[in-house]
Amino acid sequence: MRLLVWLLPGLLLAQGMGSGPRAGKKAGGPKVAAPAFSLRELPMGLTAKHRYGDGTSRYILSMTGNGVAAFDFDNDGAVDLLFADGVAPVLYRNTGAGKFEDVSTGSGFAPRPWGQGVCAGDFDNDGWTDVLMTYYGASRLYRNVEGRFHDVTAAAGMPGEGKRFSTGCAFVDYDRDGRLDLVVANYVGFDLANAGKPGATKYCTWLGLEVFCGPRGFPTDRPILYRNEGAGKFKDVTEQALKGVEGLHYGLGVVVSDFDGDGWTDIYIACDSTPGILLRNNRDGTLTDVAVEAGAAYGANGEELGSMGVAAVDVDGDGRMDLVKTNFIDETPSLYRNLGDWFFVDATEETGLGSDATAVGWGLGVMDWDRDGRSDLVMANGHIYPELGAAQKQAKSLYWNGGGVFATARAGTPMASRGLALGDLDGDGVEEIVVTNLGAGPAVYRVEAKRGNGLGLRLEGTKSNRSAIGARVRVTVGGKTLTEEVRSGGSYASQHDFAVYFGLGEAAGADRVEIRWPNGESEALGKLAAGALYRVKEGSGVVAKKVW
Amino acid sequence: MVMVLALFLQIGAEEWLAKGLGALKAGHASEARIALEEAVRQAPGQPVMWLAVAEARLRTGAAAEAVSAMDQAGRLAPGSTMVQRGRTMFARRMGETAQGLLDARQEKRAEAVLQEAVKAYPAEPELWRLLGLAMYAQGRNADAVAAFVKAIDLAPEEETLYAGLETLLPAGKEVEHRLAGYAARHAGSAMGWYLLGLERGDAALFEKAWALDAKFWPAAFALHRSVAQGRAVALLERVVELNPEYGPAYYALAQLYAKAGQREKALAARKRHHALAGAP
Repeated sequence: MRLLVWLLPGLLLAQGMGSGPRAGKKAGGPKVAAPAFSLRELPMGLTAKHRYGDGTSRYILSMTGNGVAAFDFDNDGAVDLLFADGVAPVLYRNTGAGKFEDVSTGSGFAPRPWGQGVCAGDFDNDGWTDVLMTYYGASRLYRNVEGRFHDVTAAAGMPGEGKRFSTGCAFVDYDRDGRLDLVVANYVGFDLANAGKPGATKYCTWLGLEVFCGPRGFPTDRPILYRNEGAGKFKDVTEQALKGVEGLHYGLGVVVSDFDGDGWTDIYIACDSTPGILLRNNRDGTLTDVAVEAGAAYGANGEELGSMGVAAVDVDGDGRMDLVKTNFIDETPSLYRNLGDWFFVDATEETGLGSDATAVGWGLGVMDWDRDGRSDLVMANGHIYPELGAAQKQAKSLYWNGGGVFATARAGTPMASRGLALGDLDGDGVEEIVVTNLGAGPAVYRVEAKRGNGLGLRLEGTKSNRSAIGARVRVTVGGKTLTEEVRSGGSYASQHDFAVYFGLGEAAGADRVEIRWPNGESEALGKLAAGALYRVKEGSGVVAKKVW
Repeated sequence: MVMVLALFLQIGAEEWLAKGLGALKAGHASEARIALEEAVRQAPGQPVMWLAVAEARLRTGAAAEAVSAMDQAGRLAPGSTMVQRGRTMFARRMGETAQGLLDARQEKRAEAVLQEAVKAYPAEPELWRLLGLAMYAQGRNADAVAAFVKAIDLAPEEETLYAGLETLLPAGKEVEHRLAGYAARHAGSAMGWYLLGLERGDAALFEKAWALDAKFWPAAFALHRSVAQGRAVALLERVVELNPEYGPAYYALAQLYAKAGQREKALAARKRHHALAGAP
């Protein structure tokens, strides 16, 4: 969400010769023919309309919208939905077969203005998934006690007041002690009293329009890392644990993934108009930002991207987690291919991901919608300025993975979308796509396509954290190995369901399934038939199976 | 307060002029305008006063009124050297004002000034160029190209006007034939061939520009995208040798090194790029 045009010098200008406009990005790239697919909106009874923190959209605070979490809060086996909101969180219970009821009242979530994002994880390992909700103000930690949420922010030792503009977050067991820690991204240094009016400074205009101010012009910030000390206590260890993070960032989306495959979870934070942050886990309780050296900080031309959403995905099937980000208009999404040993290379153009520079991208989901064994991408889009009127609304982006090259399509009703979460809401083995929209209700979509076979796994840690966040699953089928991880956070300020899904193509099942649990121990499951969601308990193998 | 007092004391036009010029010099544009408007009210037949009013009006953002004052000066003394010089200087001042607004990212205001300016001084290519910039800054690329073309037609041998089109290329036949004409007339100009190369997407023209001027690194930078990796690396290494402060070239080099498996070199180039990028 950046003001691109003036920040990318043309060649002549950079040489001091130019007297003209400066370069914007021209999209292009290779093409691949894709099988038919489409996006269908599903009526699921999600009617709560998104609300702004002060009822208006005057500030950058409103522009960032809200995230959504897809997870099973009441342990009934169905994926529920929790929406962050500008006024009060909205909790929907899945009553089965993809129908929802609003159970916000009595859920324990308190009204609080300027909600931003949400992430989930069972931080106390009691079998009930807890959540962190981020705010402009102070983030709130909610403990799930048998389906009812309790604000334990103060008891956890986390600040109850403040003016941090927190956005994306994720639970992560970075020190492998079996307890989930927390990482929280922070956006701009913002004070409502000094927010500035549209057009007030050069940071409050865009293409000649007077618009809200920022992010440039506001102070930068840095992420916070909380260590789970046990007994419900969290300690801010940012100073001692995060190395090389200088506080020069506008942080938004957060994803946790093991980028070097060493069994210790790393962290990536997508940043707006500033370099991205790639935190390498040093395996000693510290993490170091290596984004610049690794080649994952900037865009393909060395520019600071306006990055919002992020995902870790093994795009090319080499077993290493690559990085995908959603970015501002005139940019395209980014793909950093992981070459191993903390070395990435920008592969946006050569993979066709640079073919569409017309979207302002936010939420991001990875799913193999045609179950062909390759990860596809879905993105929620929407411009930031309400002054654009109808042009603020943009259709979703779908990127079908054709094996090294993506084919793209725009689909779905144009909206000013923000958060995006994936989860199999109706229990049929295919993930639905939940999208939040500014000033409107959320929407649920399904990608319609001819599908191959697939299977899913829902993991439960015993020695590791109970949510199994950080677990890596490798599925071998027909000589090919597919890799996926259980993660918290991701997308833009959102949380995908913890279950992981694999496309098997024509194969009747997986030849081998292997899990590396967050504590580093491996467990082989052998063959598994397609067409089912398997519940796997650490050390006990498959403990339940739900056939689709 | 001083103005109120002066009005009360009924001072003369000359004194108002002096006050106004003093305020202009001190950077108090609004105060200057009040004084100078009073001066021309009292002495409407003095062209010099209208020249000063034009300046004050421009500085307060009233471009159309400023032009009107300048026109009035011209009507009062059509053959006056001073007025002629004033008109020329005023055109330049309008350009400077617009440039200041562009630098402050006030593109709409800049365009408003420039629209008045090109109406008053349609033969000034610099004003058309600035108008093109203001339009580009508002995302109106087609309008911007038209303004640049207008500037070029007024001064077809002025290379910097063509350079203004750089990031708008390719821009179509109207631009292409002008670029081709310029390049043909100035066969030794690396810039001309480089721009024509951008318009036509023709790497051979980048090559030609590079051959004409080994220090014209934009051509090399553009060329590196269309040649084999080894040559591209050599080109970019030359670019950063010539322009050690140009970050994007380091990043492009890092990409090439990375793809060639030269990690140490890539790492060094990435760090150099980051150091040049600076803080937000």
